[in-house]
Amino acid sequence: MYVTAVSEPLVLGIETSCDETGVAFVRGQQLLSDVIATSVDEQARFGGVVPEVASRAHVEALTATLEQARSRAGVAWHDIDAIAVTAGPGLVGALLVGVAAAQGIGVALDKPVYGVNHLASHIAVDRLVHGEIPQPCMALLVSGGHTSLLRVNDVTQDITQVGRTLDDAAGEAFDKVARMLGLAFPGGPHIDAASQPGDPGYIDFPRGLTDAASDREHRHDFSFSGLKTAVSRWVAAANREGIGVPIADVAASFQQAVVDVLIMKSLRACAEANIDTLIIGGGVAANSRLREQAMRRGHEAGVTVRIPPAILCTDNGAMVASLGSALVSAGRHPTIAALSPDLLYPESAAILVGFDADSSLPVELVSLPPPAR
Amino acid sequence: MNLLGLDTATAATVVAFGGESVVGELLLDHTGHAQAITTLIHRVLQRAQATPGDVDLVVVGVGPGPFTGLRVGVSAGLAWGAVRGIPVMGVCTFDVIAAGARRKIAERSRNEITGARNNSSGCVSVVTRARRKEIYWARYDAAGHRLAGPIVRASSAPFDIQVATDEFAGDAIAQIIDAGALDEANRQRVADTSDLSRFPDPIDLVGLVQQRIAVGEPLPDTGDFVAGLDSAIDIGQTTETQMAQWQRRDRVLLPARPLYLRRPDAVPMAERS
Ligand SMILES: [Zn+2]
Repeated sequence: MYVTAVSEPLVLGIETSCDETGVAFVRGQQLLSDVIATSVDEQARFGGVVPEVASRAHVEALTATLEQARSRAGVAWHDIDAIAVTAGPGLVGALLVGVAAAQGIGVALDKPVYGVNHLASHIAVDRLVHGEIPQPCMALLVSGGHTSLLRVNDVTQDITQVGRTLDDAAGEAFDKVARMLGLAFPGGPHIDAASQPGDPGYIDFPRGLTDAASDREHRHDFSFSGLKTAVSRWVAAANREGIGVPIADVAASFQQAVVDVLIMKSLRACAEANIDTLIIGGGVAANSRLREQAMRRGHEAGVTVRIPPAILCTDNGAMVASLGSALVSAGRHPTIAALSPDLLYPESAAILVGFDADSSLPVELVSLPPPAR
Repeated sequence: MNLLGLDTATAATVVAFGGESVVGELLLDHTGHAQAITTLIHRVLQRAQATPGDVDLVVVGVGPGPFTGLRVGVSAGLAWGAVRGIPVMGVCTFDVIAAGARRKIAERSRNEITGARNNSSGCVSVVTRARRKEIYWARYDAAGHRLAGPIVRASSAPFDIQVATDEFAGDAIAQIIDAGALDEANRQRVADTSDLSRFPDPIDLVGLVQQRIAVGEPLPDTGDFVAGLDSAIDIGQTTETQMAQWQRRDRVLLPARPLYLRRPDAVPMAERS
């Protein structure tokens, strides 16, 4: 099978790894439309993302988001060059809705399907804003599901993990601390807002994995569970002593502790690898304090910090379409090729399509498991 | 009218193309429906010498069945309809399984002069496992009408399929039972009396849909009804009238929405003690 690189390919992107149904169209590096249906309000009723609730919501939203994204992009279905869909990591039941939909579209239109890695997509979305992804660059991905420091040699095929969280994801810590402070789910935006009038230096919360021993063994890794416990203890003590909890100050101090570690470790990794560009993505990259301090401290360190606008940091179809477009432009092989008229199918049952992510970054969902019984 | 049928509500991935004749694939493989579906659609279209553009209607099996697998066929079908601009409808997977059972029973009575199975009336029960010690269950009369279900019930509930109603008195019922679905006590009391398929056969999928279209009822707008029923089931407040109406929906095509028949395993914060 020969794959020809297409310049300025028109790619449909589908993202259903968590609770956002994202559908978008990208032509080359240009975002034509980006439609997101979210079940976050419904999830808030449960205090967190319930996989089955998310999966049902994806099916409900599927047809409308597809049609809305197409009409806003002003393209015809037959004009697309490829479909890109998140293959993992993520919630299996939720991912399968997008993967199945992409396959339906792939066969219906006779177009290739690219199963892509969610984390690589978070990096690739920045192509749409700041131009082609520099090679190499460093990427910090922070969200409710993951916290990773990645070295990107080529976003279409060569990404290696430099560091990761050893326990909670950064966004998870935001959710949990928000609950302690009586703030709503998801915690990120609520803590960001609550901390605005607060003093980030009010409490000196611990910065995880920054002591001398960790500097050797977990130099580029993160840990937020100690921080979470420290906040919990502080709040409990304040309540016990009846002095009341200064929500704004606690939120600001917690946020500062997270931001400090993320920025310090990312910039240090850049310096040590002689890399001068840092891309930050994922839902937590929407945090105003992180954005502002990363830009400032990056500038001081001589590192160009690129952060997409907040709307493109959270999960969406644009990131998937953007990576898809990069894959097509680079002439990478699709996960499922278009139907070729003379393609013969062996009669054995063992010819099933493997759905790997087309990226060097390992995906937890290399082979889709059998459905839950 | 050419139709493409997809069903992933059971352990099988089923793809059917119905035009001049029926071409179908049924793959029983535990690596999952999502891995099989593209290949099976390609293969079916190729065997039918058809192209994607030849499909006028997509029909998906809406279950009941394990949710994750069930959604694969429904999602692929919905997406196909969206990009091709053609209608997507649903059919109850148990109706297809029961239709297959009736077809086989009828074939047997034609082929066999004597035999233990010849007293089969055509009445069919279908039972599959629904996890959490529950089963999905539906019952059909000799004419193929759904008399009860599909519903979810405890796998330990007294098993009354054979003796439940007067209309079955004296009739042998073909019971299509996923043995693992029942608890031990019930397994002792009722045996799977059939060697009939527990999976929807492509032939019956196409046949049932064509029959429902031919009955003359237009593709019905049952969306509101099923949406209402589904949310009533979600909050555990289905009315008798609703259930009765639901059981009569066995002559028409359904909206392409999974028949979950129960709410997700999660308790809203407000309801936690
Ligand atoms: Zn994400």
